Amino acid sequence: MAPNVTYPTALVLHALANGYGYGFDIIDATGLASGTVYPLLRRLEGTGCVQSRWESEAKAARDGRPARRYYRITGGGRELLSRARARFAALDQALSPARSVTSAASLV
Amino acid sequence: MTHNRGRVPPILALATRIVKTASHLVPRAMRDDWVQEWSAELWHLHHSLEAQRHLSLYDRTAFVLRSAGSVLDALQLRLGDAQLWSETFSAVTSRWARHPGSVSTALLFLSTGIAATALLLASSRVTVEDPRSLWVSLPPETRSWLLGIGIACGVGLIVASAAAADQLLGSPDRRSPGDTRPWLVETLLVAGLSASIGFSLATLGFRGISHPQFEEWAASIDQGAVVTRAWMVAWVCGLTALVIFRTGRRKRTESLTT
Repeated sequence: MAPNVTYPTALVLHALANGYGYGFDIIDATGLASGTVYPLLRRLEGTGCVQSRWESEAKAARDGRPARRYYRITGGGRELLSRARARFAALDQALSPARSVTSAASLV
Repeated sequence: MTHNRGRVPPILALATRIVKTASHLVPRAMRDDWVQEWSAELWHLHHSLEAQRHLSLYDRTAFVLRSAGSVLDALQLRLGDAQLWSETFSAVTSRWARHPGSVSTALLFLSTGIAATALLLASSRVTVEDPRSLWVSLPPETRSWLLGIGIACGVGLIVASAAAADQLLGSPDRRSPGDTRPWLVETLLVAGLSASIGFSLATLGFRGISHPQFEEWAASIDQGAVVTRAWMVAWVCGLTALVIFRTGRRKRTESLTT
């Protein structure tokens, strides 16, 4: 069952559709708290609106960093997002690529 | 993590500790992946912050606070989605509103069964403990028989009322096969409501039957404690029977669906 399109859900889908693929990137782009974004991602993944995969361990090891889990929006997620766009007109202006990771809004 | 061969910065160590502590809430099957994801994200964030500038106290606090989001994430994985629970609760109460007759009859059956069993237990106890009652003059064999009959009546009452309640409640609406939430929510609601109604009925009933027969004796004992203990035993038995019946019904429904 598709989840209700709340504004935070719409923001997360919008961020995913705009190429933000990692949990903390989505937090930074949306300004939502980590305690909001991760539960939303789990829920969206559970309903098939989002898929996740681990990036290559070998590639990450070559770069000397840990592998990250990458999220991407599915067809169902895009449908949900188009419904959300109809509901939240200002969604397209909502993402903040330059938002500081330590902004007060994205603390928890 | 193999990339952290050197000394781990204190704030990264603290944030990772928070994540590892929260991970105890995460179901075991997904715990390793979960810790790896949070640890990797924290590592990347810390790395980018260090590369950008000297970390202020505000940056450090914000960094640690961000890791605290892992507690909410872990809680959701443990408890399930709060909104889904809320929607399930609404679905169950809506179904009850559509069938008020059968639901209230089910509650009445179960509550009456609990109250009757509690009364049976409480009055049996009072009778057995009353030094002037007929009980003490009975031969031991007769007492054993009477006790056996009393227990059988109590068990019969509870099982019959739980079976009737289960039959009247039927199967809850489910979102998907294997979704046990509606069953759990409905059973918890029935348990709570039947507990309070059953207790009220048992208290009223005990007052009604104890005074005329055991007036003097009843005045010397703590009637509230007697009836409360009896009610608790009856309620636990009633709930156990109901859970057994509901589980059986759920399994039958699921096997029919599949």
